[in-house]
Amino acid sequence: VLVVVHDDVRTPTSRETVRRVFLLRERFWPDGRAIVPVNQPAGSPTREQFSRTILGGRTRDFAAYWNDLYFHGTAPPRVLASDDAVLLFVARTPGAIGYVSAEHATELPAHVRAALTVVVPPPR
Amino acid sequence: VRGGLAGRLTTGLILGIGVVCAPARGAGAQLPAPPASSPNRIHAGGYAAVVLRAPEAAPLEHGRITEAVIAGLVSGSITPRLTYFVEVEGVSSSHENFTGRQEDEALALERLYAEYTVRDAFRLRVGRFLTPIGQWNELHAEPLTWTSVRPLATYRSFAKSTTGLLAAGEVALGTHDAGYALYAAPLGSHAHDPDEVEFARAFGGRAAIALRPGVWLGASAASLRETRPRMVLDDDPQERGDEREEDARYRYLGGIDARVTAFGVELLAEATYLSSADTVHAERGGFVQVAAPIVAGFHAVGRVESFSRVAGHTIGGGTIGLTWRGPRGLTLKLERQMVDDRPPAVAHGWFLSASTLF
Repeated sequence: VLVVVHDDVRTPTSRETVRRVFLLRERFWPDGRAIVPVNQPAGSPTREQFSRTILGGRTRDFAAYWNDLYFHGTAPPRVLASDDAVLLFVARTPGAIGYVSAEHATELPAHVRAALTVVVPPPR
Repeated sequence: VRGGLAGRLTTGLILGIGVVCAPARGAGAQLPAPPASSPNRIHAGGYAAVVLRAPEAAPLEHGRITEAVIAGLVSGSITPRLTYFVEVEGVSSSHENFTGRQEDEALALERLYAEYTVRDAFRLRVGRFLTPIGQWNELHAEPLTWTSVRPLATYRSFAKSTTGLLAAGEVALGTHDAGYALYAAPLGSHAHDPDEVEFARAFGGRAAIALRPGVWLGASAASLRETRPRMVLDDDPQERGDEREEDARYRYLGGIDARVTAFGVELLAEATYLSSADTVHAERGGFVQVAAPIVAGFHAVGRVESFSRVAGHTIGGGTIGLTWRGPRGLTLKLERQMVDDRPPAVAHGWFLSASTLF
């Protein structure tokens, strides 16, 4: 899985930062710009790999977490349907961060920068 | 606002707003959200619940209770850092016993605040918010809890909502997630529930840390000047107002809580202690609850609790239940609440509920 950011994001991006960003525990980049995370659809292979590897559980394991946040007025990151949609969104949105299949690493569009490559362990 | 036509109309208005404005709510993680950089977006939603209570071989005066709750949640951002949140809750209840049937309606402003985020580790909130004591109180909505009945320790010793100023934040301590909240309520609690603590002013806070993924520990503390004495728990609700206990004074509250989640099993425990100058009226209580998955969204739930309002008088109880959690925050619960001596002011018996987020 390849974590991508808009090219105005200059902050080094660790796995821990990505985890906290996608759980909405970090909402602003260190330069003060708002973080705009974008997810892939629940059930998609990329989403499940990202969820297991970065967040530490299956997508459905976080349903209660998102419901709790919803009760406090916070919605989960927006969902886009495909790698191409994520890349387009990140390219057009300052402060955006998303993830796509690693096969896109050599063909990123303008204004999109690879921030982190996550090696997904094979399923047991 | 309680009862009457005004209550019905207002409840209807909230329902209408909820239905008209509610976005299509996916199963948690599928809910689309606007980018944080897009201000002036309004989210409207809420939750609804119906709870039925039936006495279990109890005296007739305990009666049957039907309660319908609908809550509207509205939130939005004026700028990426300046947000607001409103929760209005309407409750319609019917209490039927040997004296007849009594209906009541109430509307309460549970939360109304504006919040400015200086950075992730420091947010300032002003208005009315849920008191940050323990875990249950800040997540008390029917679709989010494993049982319909709240343990006594999650509401008897403090006001569920507080009006004032709150500073809160989330920080990373190494690889450990942590958070804190500090609040000051100089203008009093304005409690809706006659059984809640009401105070002239209060200060307090809570801190929590994830020792490892799925293991949260928290601690809470508060200092308050209680202004209104409350009923003792074994008073009959029908006689409220005549036998309130005179115990208005400075009081200090301490609490600890823990939540452990692993393999789908959740353990939640909380304990609180509220001091009293005479030591006789110190309150101490706590509970341990376990929810374990069975099959197809069904969970077995068990809880033991204890609460002591007056020295030498401890109420013990237990809950067993079956809870189904489905998509879109839909939750069905069947539970049996058992309490020593069955005091009328403490919920017990069989409870059946259905609730959903919308």
